[in-house]
Parts: sequence; structure tokens; C-alpha cells
Amino acid sequence: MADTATHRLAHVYPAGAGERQGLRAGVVSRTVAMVIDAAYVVMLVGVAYLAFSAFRFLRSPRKFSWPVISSGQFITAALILAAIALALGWAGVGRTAGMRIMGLRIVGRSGTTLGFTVALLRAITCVVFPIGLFWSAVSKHNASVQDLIFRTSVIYDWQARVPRSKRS
Amino acid sequence: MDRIPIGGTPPDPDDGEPDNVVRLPSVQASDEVVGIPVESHDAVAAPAGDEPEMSWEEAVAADADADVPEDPPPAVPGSGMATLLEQGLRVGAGMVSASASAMADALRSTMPEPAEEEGEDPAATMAGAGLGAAITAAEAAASAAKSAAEAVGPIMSWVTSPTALQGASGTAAGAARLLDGQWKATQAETAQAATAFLTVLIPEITKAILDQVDLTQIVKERVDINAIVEDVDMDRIVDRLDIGAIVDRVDVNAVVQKVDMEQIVEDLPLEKIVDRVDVNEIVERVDIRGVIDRLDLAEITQDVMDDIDLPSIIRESSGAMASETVQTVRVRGMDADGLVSKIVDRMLRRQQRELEAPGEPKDD
Repeated sequence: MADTATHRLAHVYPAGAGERQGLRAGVVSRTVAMVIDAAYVVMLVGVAYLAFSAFRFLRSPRKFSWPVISSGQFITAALILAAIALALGWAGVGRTAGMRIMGLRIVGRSGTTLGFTVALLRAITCVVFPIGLFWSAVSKHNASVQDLIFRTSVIYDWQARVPRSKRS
Repeated sequence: MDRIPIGGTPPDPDDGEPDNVVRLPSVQASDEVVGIPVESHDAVAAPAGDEPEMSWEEAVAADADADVPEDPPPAVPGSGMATLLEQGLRVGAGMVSASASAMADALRSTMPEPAEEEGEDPAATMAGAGLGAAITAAEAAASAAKSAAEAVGPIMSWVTSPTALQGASGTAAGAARLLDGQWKATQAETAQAATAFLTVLIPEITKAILDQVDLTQIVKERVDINAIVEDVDMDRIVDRLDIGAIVDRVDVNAVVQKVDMEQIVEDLPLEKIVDRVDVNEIVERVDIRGVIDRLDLAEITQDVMDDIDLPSIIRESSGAMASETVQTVRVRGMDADGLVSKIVDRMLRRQQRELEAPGEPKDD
């Protein structure tokens, strides 16, 4: 029965996608994922703004007024949230929200998930120097500047692999 | 000595028998004396009645002159004994001939080489000569006996006449009683000697015969074993058998160890056996409901769920089978990656990228 399910799942990839699983992803997919992550971070900043406003309202409802945030503060908060979100995603499940949508995964030099320190440092570099991503278009190994620094790889991984039996 | 009327029916005592007539106790009108038939009274004796008594010579003369009717010729006294003697001699000759023939065969079988090459078998010649001599002697003896009977006939008639018999009967009775007494005295001893002789002789003869006879071949040719077996009451035999004791004496383990089960199974025509099995009938006899009731379906289902890890399948298939839009975006991204790489590689005059990543993709 498990073999039948496996056989069925082995054909879920669209044509041409299956054989690319595990290969390093190109610049387009990674850029799309970054954009999605950026939007995700912006959304997080907005949620954080609303949460901060709610906190202020609950503390002094009569004196409540919407907090005024400068662009500098917003960008700083966004970058901080972005770094934290990226680090948590990479160190936790090996992918962020944008990478999950695009079917990407980040792995270390031995193919394992990154540790939190490496993930956080790589996230900071990505936030500070996002243009380093585009080196993957030129690199022979589709490696960005951050990949070269931290010896990481971003691969195609749609996570449609064969489920293994517990007894096998 | 009183005169005894010759022949004729003895006068009835009621008719007033003369006192001077003596009647032989053992001679009656229809009796025989020592195997000699008594002649017809009409043929031998003068008719009783008013005729005067006559002497022996007168009676013979009268008998010769008498007009005898066409009765069968009178049997010569002693002819029955001669017939018996002749038949006995013939039987004895036959036995002698058979014995001679068997002995000739036995002698021939003991010869180192068959005598056919010499033309005539001397053993057969000797046996034939002995047989011929025996038969000739038998015929001669029979003929002599008959002639003697014919010659002795008149004398025997005289001897058997009441006049002669009257004296001879007493002498014969005495001699018979004497011989009978002697026989009875020696009967037990004789029987014992004969029994001892036969006790020694019969086993030897039997052994010699069995050595020369192939009983197995005889049984095969002569005995209808099937008919015998059909008459055998097998049920009764089986009833008398103690099957339990027989089985107890059998070392079943040793027998089983000698059995080549693999060879037996290979020789079994399993396909033919299976073809003859009515599976539908078997299924109809099976209490499927009872089987199902005895099954722990909940446990079985849980085991199946554990084996196939259904939640993992659902999760991963949902990731793989994401919305068509997501799949389209991913595929488009892959294609765009490839296109950009080609353009850049062409600009950089690079043949192909090395996209193999370390390790394998990892689960969440």
C-alpha cells in the first residue's frame, strides 16, 4: 500500500521539475523568493505596528493615538524583523515563506540544515547587502555572495519525496 | 445220513416238512455260498413236487435231459472271482506302469546329458518292456483265472452242493474263526509296525517329492488366487487384527525421516488438484462473518496507518500538489533560472554550470 502511494507521489512533479530537485536554484527563483520574503517582512512590520498600537491603547486608552514612525525607524524595524525571520526560517525548517512558495531550501556545506548562528549571520548579510544575491546569475555554481561566504547552497526542493515507512 | 433234496424251494415248514430233511442254515434259496451264486432252482434242481427222490447221477442226467427254457446261460461258479482278479490285475498293471514311467522319468532326469542323441531312450525302453510284461502277465493271469474258473466250475458246483457243503461249511467256519482269532491277536502289533514304518517313510518321500517339485510354479499355473482372494472374508480378518499393537511397533519417526517429502510434493499434480477444487463451494462454507467478528479491525487499521504514514503522505502531497498557481510559478522560476543561466553562460562563454549541491534534500 505504501508502495502504491509512493508510486502515485512520484508523478506529482510537472514535466521537467522532477529531475531538477536537489540542484542549485537560479537567480530568478531566488529573487522571487526574496521579494516574497520582503513583502512578508513588510507585512510583519505592519503587524508589529498594529500590535504596538494595541499595546498602547490597552495601557492608556484615553490618551491613545496612533504611533508616528519615521521612515528610518520603519526601515530599521523591517531590517531587524527580516533578519530574525530569515534566521528562524533557515535554522528551523531550512526555508522562509518565500522560499517555500518557490520550492527552495537552503543547506550547509554538508547538505544539512544551517545552525542558528550561521543562519543569523547569513540573514544579516542578506539584509545589509541584498544585492549579493544576484551574483548567483554569474556564479558557475549559482552561488550568491552570502553562499560563497557561508558555504551554503539554495536548492530546488519541492518536498515531494518518497515517504518512508517507520519499519523500513 | 439222510438224503437232502437237491435244489428246489425248501418245503414250507407250515406245509409239513419231513423230519428227515436237513436245511443248511446259511443256504437259502436266494443266497450265495462264498461268492458262488446259487443256480436257479429250476435249472439245477428237479421240480419239487410229486417226483420221487433221486440220486446225484440221476439228477444230473435228468437235468441234462430236461427241456430247459431259454434262460441265460448259467454262470460258471467262480467267474465273479475271476472278474475281480482280472480287474485287480489290470489296476495293478496300471499302477506298475505308472510307477515305471515315473521312475523312467526320474532316471532320465538324473542322466548328465539327454539321451535323444542316441536315438532311443533306454530308460523308456526298459519301462515299456516292464509295462508290456506286466500287462501281458495280467492278461495271462486273467485268462488263466477264467479258464480255471470254467474248469473248476462243475467241481465248485459239486462242492457247493448241499451235500458237499454240509461237511465243508463246518470245516470252513472253524478255519475262519481260527484265522480271525489270529488276525485279531496280531492286529495291534501289525498296525503299530505299519504306523512306525509309514512315520519314517512318508516324510522322506514327501521331502524327496518337494525337492523335485516347483510348488511356486505349480501354484502359479494351477491355482486361481483371485478366486481364493474373493472368498476371503477380509472384514473378519481386519476385525481380528490388533491395529493398535501393530502401529505401536512401527517407528513412525524413522519412516517419516526416510520419506522424501520434497520429491513427493514435486510429483504432485498440484495444478490438476487445484483445477478440481471448487473454490466457490469452499467459500460458501466459510463463516466469513465469524472470521470478521474475530478480527480486530481497529488494530489492523492502525497498523496500516502506521505503515503508510498517512499524515506524512497528506502533508507532503499537499506540498507537492500545491495549487496550480504555485506550481506554475515554480516551473516558471525554474525555466527563468535556466534561461538566465544560459544567457550569462553564453556571454561568459561558459559551457555548463555545476549545480550539484552537497548532500541530499532534507525533510522538514
